[in-house]
Amino acid sequence: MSDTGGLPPKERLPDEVPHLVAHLFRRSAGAIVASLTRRYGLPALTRAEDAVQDALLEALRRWPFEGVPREPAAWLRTVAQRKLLDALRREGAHARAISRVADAGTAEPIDGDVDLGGDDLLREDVLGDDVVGMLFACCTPLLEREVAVALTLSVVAGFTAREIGEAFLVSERAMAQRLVRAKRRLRESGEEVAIPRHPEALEARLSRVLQVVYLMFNEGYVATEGDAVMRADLCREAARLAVLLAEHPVAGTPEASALAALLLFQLARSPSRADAAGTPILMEHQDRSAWDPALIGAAYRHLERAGRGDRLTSLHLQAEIASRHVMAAHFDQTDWGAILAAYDLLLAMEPTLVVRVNRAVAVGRVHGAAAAQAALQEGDAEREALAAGYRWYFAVRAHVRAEAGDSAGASDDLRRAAALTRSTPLLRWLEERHSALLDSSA
Amino acid sequence: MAKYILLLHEDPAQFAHLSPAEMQAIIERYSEWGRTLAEAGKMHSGMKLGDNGGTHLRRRGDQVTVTDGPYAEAKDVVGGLYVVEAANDAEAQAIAADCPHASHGWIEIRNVEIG
Repeated sequence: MSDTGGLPPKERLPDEVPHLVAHLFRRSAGAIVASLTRRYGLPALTRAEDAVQDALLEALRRWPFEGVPREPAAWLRTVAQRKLLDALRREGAHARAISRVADAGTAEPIDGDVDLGGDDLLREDVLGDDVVGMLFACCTPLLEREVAVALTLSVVAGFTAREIGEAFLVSERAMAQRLVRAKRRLRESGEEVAIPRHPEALEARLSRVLQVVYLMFNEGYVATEGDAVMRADLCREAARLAVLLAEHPVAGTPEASALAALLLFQLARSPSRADAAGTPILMEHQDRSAWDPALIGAAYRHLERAGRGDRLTSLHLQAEIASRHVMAAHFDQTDWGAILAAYDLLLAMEPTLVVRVNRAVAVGRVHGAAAAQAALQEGDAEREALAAGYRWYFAVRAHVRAEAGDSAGASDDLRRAAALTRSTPLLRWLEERHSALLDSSA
Repeated sequence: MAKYILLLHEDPAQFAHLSPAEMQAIIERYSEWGRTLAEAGKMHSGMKLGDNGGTHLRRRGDQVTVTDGPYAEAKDVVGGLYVVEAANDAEAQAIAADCPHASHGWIEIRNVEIG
């Protein structure tokens, strides 16, 4: 809002219009597509997307002249719904849509002018339901998880194929084709835009939804290539969806709260993870005052709610570990014992290479470099790391070997990590560590 | 102060492939420009014109002919107009140069003659 100070109402500026809240268009696009598709069924998905795009375009053409309406989101919704109905009518699909709505037991008069004054489309709690319902539909087991991530970004979060392609390092064309195929399969799946009613179906689908949101976050968080702004948007969007799920009356299980807590902790720390050039900054050198206290506060609230369940999940343990890092005012005060205990449980639950490497860091802090080295040799970790091209295995082992006095081994590992790296900032970082190692051993 | 009319010419198709985020960013730039002008007391009004290109009417003797204006697929359509207040041509041009539309099309500046 522009500051009108003490001006009497009649002297207010004629253009005193609401500022658009950040990401309004993108998020409205997702929410409106979800609402319309929930109402008219998944077969209307593409038409709903077109109607929303047309509504946004109309806003773009009109608002610069007419000013932003008082309720921009409601304006977009009304116009999009009108455009969808026009399209359905034009295509003669209107009758089918009405019968569909009638079948679903939610018959409403949708012919003639659409009255959206007191329409439930505008109620916030209903909107949350729509978005969560669409998220459940996009995470159908018929689609691979990676495809579900892209589809969710497109349908639920309002990203374009070009933007998603930038995040996934895929061309716009390839991503657009992938999305078209995914949408076709979703339409033909017989899925509903709804939250499953049976507890077992709900649990199974929710677990997939949480995996997809987690993957979406990691897509933005772990990648060191691709557009940085886009990746940050991806993380924020995933965290927003996790919070939406955690606060939903049905989907908000303790595990959903654990995911929300984990993502908020990570998001809070993200500004200090790399310097302006994109070079990573190790946790011990990060500026903790740059961590976002509002996000950390929200993360703790979700962590507390996550603890109310009777099941300890991988997400609980990861959120616990993230909270231990955030809790320490200085790096030296990190409770590595608690972190290692959580990693021990996590490794038993998920014996993956990533968990093994992260646990080895904690082992090193608690029991020293020799123990960390042993932890890294467990299983067939080295071969697995080579096969997966997992450079952090070698970067961490280089650190551990250097601490144990094995400069030659450390140097060797840094070279191997570099060979697995394409990103320039990351290569620069590995080179800096290498020359520091050579200096100290000289 | 005199009134100037800024006629905003554009290719309507150019916006079709923008992402929602890009559309919002463009609207924000226009709003910011309009707000700044209004705060300086220089914005009179703005109007969006219909996208159908309108009609052209001519009378020859008794005969009135009405023809369609530029077709919808025309590359250059007046999408809308602003009426602004400026002291002289130079100020009107400066106002138009700041208008975000200058990046999306071109601006025809006409002064309202004071009789």
